[in-house]
Amino acid sequence: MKMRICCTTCPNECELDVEVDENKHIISAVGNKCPRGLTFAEKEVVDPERVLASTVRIDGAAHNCLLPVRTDAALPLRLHFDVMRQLAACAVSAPVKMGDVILPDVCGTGINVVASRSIA
Amino acid sequence: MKTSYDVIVIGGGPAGLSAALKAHEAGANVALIERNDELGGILNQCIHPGFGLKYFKQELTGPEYAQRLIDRLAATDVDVLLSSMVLSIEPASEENGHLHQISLINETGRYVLGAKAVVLAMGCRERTRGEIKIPGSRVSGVFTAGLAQRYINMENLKPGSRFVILGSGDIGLIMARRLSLEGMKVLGVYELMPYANGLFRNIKNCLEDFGIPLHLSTTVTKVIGKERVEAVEVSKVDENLRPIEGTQEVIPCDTLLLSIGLIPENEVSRTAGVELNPATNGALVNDTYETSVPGIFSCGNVLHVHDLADNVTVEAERAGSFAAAYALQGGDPAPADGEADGACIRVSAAQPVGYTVPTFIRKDRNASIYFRVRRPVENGVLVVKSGETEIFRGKARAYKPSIMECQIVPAKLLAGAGDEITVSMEEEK
Repeated sequence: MKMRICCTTCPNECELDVEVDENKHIISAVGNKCPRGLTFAEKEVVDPERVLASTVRIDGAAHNCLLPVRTDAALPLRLHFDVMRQLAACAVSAPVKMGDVILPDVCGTGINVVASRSIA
Repeated sequence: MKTSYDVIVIGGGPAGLSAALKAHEAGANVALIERNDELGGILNQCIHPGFGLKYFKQELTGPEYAQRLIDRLAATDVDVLLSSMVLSIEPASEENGHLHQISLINETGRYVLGAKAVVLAMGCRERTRGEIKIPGSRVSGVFTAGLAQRYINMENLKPGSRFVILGSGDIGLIMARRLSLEGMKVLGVYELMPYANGLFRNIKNCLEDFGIPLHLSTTVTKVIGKERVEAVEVSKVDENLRPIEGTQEVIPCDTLLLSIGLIPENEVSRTAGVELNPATNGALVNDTYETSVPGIFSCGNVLHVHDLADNVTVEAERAGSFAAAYALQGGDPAPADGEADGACIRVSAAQPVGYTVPTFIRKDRNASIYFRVRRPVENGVLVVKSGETEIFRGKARAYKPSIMECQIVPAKLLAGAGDEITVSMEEEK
């Protein structure tokens, strides 16, 4: 099977044309300017991953009712809606500092959801 | 409160923060004025990742990018005035003691601050329904994409349930994903042009990941509803971008989001008499980002609309450091139009290159010329000419309107140029 993949590792955004076999192994890949493109493509074919960003409720802050949060690493796309449900049930209290862990080890992946900014 | 400064920066988004930091680093006494109640500007509502790859060498969200700049600023003695709105700037003159007079209001009253140099960093605002004149009912449920983004990401409000998005600019694409993640339905993204306007990564990660269709050469031709949007009518358009009769389709929905472009917010610049470039709606600047008014500089989205915050920071740092140099050295080391010493070149753009920033460069130093193409070019060669003489020729490659480009032209190539050069593109088959 042939696929077109956009590597989002860096702003170059190389477009790769890859051919994969029935076991999701890459047979050929062209278009990447560096080896990170191939690493990205290997993951993309088997189990695509993205950083998930959302918000959680924050209480006791002067100007804000929501705290922006993100996963501290790329999370498999198939888990995004699961984590969104967990975030909907989550609330924190001010103050929060950027990088504070809001939800540890989501879905047993070892990936944490962390605060994207500080709110006093 | 102090009433005069070396440098006053107007706007506390990525451009203003970066300019203030650099001006401070150069030894200037700096104030930053922000109309919102917190710093960070639009980055605070851009909660998605994709920022900082160039400047911080790390993928950050908008709030993280802002927080890094805010934390750096907090460690300086730069005076920050929040919830303060600048009304006008009266340029420096003999009568006002050679200081630009900045009038502002906030909750405690109206003030006038003096500054040796000013950095304009007010950003831009979104184009609205009125600007593209969509026919139909004047109902509720029509939002600009950025407003809906603020509602969802900062105000905890839900703007609607079933969305149609007009325009494939980055904000519209980002919102398509955000709405989907929050359980709202995005029926489709419609784009007037035959190509997508946003970054390719956003088409991939925001639409394809969620199975949202992108309809090119299609636009909204009518808004239907009594009090709230009940449906929109979309039509295919021809090569002249005119709706094709008979292709209308009615899409039931309750909300229409518009992601149809941004306009630099130059009302305050106009009060100072800053000359604007009709191609960008931003100021005409030289290579230090100084405007037509000596000592007033411009950077970020108020100068020209950027696609990456990282580019804004680089530009604003240069504007901030030259503003500081202007203030501390009591004048401009390289005058705005350079007429006096004949060292200045005026840069103009020829299609498909839409514009260049800066407009004035100097023969005696390397020039970083930023530009954007007006339409996609498959195989373009950038050509810089002085009259009929070619002074620079790039390598053939693809150019997209969604990506701002930068070409560095070395001083040794500019030395022999006349007082005007043209940036154009040759297309190879």
